[in-house]
Amino acid sequence: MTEQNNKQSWLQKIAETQVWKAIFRTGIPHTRRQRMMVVLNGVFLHLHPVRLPKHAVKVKYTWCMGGLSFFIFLVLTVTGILLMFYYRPTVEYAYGDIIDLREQVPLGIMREIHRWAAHLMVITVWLHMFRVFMTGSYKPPREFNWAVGVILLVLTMLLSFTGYLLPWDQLAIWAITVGSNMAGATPGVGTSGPGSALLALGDVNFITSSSDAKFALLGGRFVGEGALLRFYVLHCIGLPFIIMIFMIVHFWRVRKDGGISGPT
Amino acid sequence: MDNNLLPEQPNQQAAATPTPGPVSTQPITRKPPEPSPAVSSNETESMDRRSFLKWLTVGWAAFAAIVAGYGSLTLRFMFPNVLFEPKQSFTAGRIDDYTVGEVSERYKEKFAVWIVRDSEKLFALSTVCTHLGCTPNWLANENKFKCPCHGSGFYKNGVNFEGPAPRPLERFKITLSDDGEIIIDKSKKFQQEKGEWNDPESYILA
Repeated sequence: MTEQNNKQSWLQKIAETQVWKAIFRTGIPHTRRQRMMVVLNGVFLHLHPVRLPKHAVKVKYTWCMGGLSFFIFLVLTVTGILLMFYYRPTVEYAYGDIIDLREQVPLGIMREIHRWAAHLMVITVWLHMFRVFMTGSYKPPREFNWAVGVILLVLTMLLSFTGYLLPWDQLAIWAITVGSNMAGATPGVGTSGPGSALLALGDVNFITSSSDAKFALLGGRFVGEGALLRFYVLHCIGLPFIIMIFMIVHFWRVRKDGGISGPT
Repeated sequence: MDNNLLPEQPNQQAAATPTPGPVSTQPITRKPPEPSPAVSSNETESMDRRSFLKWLTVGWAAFAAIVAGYGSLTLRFMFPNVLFEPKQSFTAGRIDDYTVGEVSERYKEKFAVWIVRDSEKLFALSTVCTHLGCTPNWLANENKFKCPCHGSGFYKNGVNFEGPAPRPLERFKITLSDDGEIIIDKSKKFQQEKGEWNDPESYILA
């Protein structure tokens, strides 16, 4: 009994130091109000709702797919940053660095974790979307968040697509050749697309093989060193930056539109 | 409110905020703050609504123009002036360098062009498959081009006959220079389905 009291007072003492109080403003929560304040006052905890209806945590209803997608995104961010310490996005080194990541670098499974997680994220995002559709969670007032979710799906696919080129093997080069030809068929701004001849002054056509949408994507007329560098920058900086902005909006709106798995 | 912490401030707030005390039934009327002598009343009235809106419009227009200017320059930034790629136009030897019936792969690797000579003419075929853009292989034994990606097949003249390719391979502009050198210009292409293979620039009679 006395030992427990001592222990409590010891914890109490720490909780009353200035350092502790400076970091955790609320102190040790004892009341419902204090517990609520803990969640509200922390930058990470405040992403969660303060209260959840009991049915909201049913795995049967949500399959946890949205949360899992975000978790896998975090895994991809961490493993991706680690891979960047070894991988050089040049025609000379890219393929060799990928092989070295497996054969020479300790924990050679790191690149595979990144690759498997990438596959998994596409799957979980699709399943999340399927669940949202089947439970009718796209209906008002959540219709805007459905639209944000569609953008997140597209960004997930684009991250997959840009990451596909980086191993710089035959599969990667030809897959991106095929994929980027679609950009060349963009109406209006792709050389082989409809209406590409509309943007012209007399005989001078503004949409050429060195000024169309495909060129902007590849930094060249075919998949070469320019494409490798552009896809690397898009994959590591550009698209993650954009997807994070949309994820912030997505999570915010989940809360503001009435929380998960319930009527508003 | 701890007014003691702000000794320098003139005690204007005391006059503006109602003093705590017995609740008055009278509505609280706020007096407009005394005009401070630092702000001249002439200066504030010198700009009327019309000229304010005019300058606001000019300001926003200038801001929008600058943003649009930098935006278009940023877009242009993505299109470099110098490319480290093989040129679009190149010389490909003389007519006598090619035998009749030959499909020359001499310039396939660097320029993505096959040079084909048949009994009456010479033409330059693009090595880009018209299905999804892979590079077919010339199979001399089977006398056809075959794409490894999805199996499209083309005759020696470039016309598709099997697989998913929707149209024949493209041909490039091919001309002879004054001293008899073959010049191939990839920036001008000729498509069979548009009837362009009859264009005199799409072949050399040989």
